Amino acid sequence: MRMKKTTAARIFWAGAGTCMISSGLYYTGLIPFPVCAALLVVAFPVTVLALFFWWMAGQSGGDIPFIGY
Amino acid sequence: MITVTSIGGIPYYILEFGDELVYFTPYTITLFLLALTFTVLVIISRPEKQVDIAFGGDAYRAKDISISEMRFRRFMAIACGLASMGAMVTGDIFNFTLFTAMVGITNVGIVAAVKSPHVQDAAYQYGLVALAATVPLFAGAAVYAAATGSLSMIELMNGTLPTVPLIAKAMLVIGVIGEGMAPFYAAKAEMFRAPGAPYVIMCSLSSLLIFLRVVEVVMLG
Amino acid sequence: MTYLSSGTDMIAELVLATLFGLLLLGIHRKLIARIQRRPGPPIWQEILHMLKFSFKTTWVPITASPTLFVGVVLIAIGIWSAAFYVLVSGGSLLVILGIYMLHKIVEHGFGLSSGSPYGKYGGVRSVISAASEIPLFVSVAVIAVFTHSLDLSSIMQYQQVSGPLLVTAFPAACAMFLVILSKMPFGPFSIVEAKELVSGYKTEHFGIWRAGLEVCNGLKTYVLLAVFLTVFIGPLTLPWLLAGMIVLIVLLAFSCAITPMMSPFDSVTIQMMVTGLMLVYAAVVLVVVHP
Repeated sequence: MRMKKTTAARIFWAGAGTCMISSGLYYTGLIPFPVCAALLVVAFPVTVLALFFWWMAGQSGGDIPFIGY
Repeated sequence: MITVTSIGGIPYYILEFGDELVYFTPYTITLFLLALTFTVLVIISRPEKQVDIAFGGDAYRAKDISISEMRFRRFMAIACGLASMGAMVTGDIFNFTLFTAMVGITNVGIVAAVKSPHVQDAAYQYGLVALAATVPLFAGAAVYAAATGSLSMIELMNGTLPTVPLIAKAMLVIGVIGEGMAPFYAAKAEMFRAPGAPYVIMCSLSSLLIFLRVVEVVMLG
Repeated sequence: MTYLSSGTDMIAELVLATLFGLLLLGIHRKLIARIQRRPGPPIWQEILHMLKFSFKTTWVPITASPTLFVGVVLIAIGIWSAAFYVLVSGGSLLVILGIYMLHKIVEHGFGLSSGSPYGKYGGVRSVISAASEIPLFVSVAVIAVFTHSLDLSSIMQYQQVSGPLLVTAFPAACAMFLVILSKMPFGPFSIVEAKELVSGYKTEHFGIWRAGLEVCNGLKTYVLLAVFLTVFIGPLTLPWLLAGMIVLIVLLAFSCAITPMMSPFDSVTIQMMVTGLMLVYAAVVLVVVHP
């Protein structure tokens, strides 16, 4: 299963959006610190990996297939 | 006097069923969520295919796990995850010891279906140690009840009860260590030769979590 | 909120902490190289490493347990982000140390999930060296005896009043230093990534997975050093905190450069001996200092 560049980009924007919104809500005082931290702890790793996938995934050409041990 | 608010943080939520109670502090909730995450991973993961290398040559082979074996081990790993989650959030010393004993049993169960003599031997030795360790474990809980008249951690943290004797705390810790911490770890490390990644991880995760919880428990009261 | 978090830039703090942690690892590596009379890579090499791996072709090995293989990378970054927020909010020291211990499970997960024997041995070594965590808990217990609390904010308050714990509880600081040393690359206790195991638990995590692991390592280094400074020196302003971390990494680099990597059994034996000494120290503190 290969992840498409667009899928990775969508996951990245969803994760980054969650991070931004939660820290924004914490800044305005709508959610307490633990809730904001919990959201960031979940969203941050996904965002980081999706970002890597996004800029790694080429638009053309395939990966080198796995040929086994 | 150390109170629980300065050990694991202020409890967010306390759930009481009569004597039984469950409470979530930042500390216990972190541990609980980790146990939950790994249990979910156990439920949804397919097992690894362990590759064995014959030393001194270029030969290697991948082991496949049969469906029936996988089902049994997955069941045991989930049971182990549930027992660890219970031990993380319970607010009752006796329930904690029960969950700890259950973790020991399910740890043997996780590798019991593996057809490898090394793994079976290690599981047998670990089982003996875990069995022996239940004696100080439950005795510790009994001394708690005898000395303070209560098994509730909430009561203990209030500081209104008599002081818990050091022997009770020591017994509780020895019991938990026997379920798979440092000096008794040798047998458990051999158990990790068993193929099937997500299930075997529950063995080490559960005993680490139980150890982390007992650190909090002995600091109460 | 304490010295670190103004509360407005929670994401920026996390990213900058990661990058600074990677920079510290780079300084660590450079110093070891210079002590051993090698030129060594530039100090920003670990940041470049993370970027380099993130551009590499990535897949999941056919023998791996796919969900765990990927999930454990997410968990690795997640737990240290959680530790970072506990640190900046002055939460319980016990939570951070719990996360430190659970990092063992993450290493074990990295090793086991791939199906490779090298990864597996790395993971098993990681679990065997669980002995290194017990001095940690003894030093925590000693701190609790002194400060009557395990909240980082209360520990900092205590030190503002009665001076740094580095002086009053020096053996506990040594034990914690040893614990941090056991998590440093190229150190005497880094048996989990010994070269006879290729790269130990991270052998099979390549490409993006390794880049994720680098993020985790950067964050981990930052959090551990910051916790050490917070617990044993007291509240510091950001420039002093960063300077203190660089001093610590220099000490760690010297310790790593001049000691050989031990065999797994020697490593565990030494850690158990330190545990024994710490138990004696804790008993002395309980009986003599605070009866």
